[in-house]
Amino acid sequence: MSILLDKAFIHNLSVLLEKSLTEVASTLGISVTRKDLISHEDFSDAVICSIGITGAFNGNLVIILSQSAACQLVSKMAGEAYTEVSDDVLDGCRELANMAAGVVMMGLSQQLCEVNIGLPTSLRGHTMHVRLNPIDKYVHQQYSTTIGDIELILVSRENESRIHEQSASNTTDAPKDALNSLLDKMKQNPS
Amino acid sequence: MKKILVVDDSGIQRKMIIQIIRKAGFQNDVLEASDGEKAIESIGNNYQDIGLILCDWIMSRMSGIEVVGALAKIPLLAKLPVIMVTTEGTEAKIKEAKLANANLAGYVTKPFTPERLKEMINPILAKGE
Repeated sequence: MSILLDKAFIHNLSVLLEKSLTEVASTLGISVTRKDLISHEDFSDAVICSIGITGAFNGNLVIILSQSAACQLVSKMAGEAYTEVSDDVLDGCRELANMAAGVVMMGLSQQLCEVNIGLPTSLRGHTMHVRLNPIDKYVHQQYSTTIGDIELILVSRENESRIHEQSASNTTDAPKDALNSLLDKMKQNPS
Repeated sequence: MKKILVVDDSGIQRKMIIQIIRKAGFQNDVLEASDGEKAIESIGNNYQDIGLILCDWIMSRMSGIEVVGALAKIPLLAKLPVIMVTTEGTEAKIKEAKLANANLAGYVTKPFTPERLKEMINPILAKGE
């Protein structure tokens, strides 16, 4: 069922968004403090991660952090030092977005608001800009953390079409084929 | 000593999990798979040696729920201990996973602490299965 993105619901999203970062950060031993004022930076030297949300409403969770913060984050995750933004660092940042979106999804589910999350994406660059559609509603938060500043944006738009077929549309013959292949192997090499 | 198969599309997440396993004192060989299809291939090649599978849910090509569902349909593999390690932590998703594989050995929701994962894997690996 789609929901109305009224002021109360947007406030609710804001609370969940804050919870998402604090919860993920605490498992990694990173302390975070929310900033009262949003400073409008140009996101130069940044890593941007995004993950799609569909269901009761549609949207994206976007996380922006400096390349230095991204390296420190992934160093903590993997237990080994990363000093420049490699594929591994981008991978770890995607996982950050995945986990944060998971916390938001769980919180919404406990309020009987069901959403699904997609596969996260991440990219790095200089002088990147995040453009928001003026008709979308969004929550924008900035945090000071022990690995550097982190910015979160949760973009949301009402879902009138009540899309619930996401998982069905992803269905392929891959599981069936893989299972058949597994069965063939077991026949050739029984225990 | 049985092997552990870690299935996750994030290489960093696999590293995190392996690090926790090692810090918990388990020296089992670890196999890795970056999606469900590769997991099935690895299980096909090593099923007699695998004692535990840690499996993510959302992955490209073939999801974790499809992997555990496929294993449940093969009697020889149905009792392989599988712990889901995933962001899909809603009650509905946990029910869906248990429906796909009634023998699911555990469910860990991301983000998780090392202690949470350890308490799930300890009883399984301590048995030496």
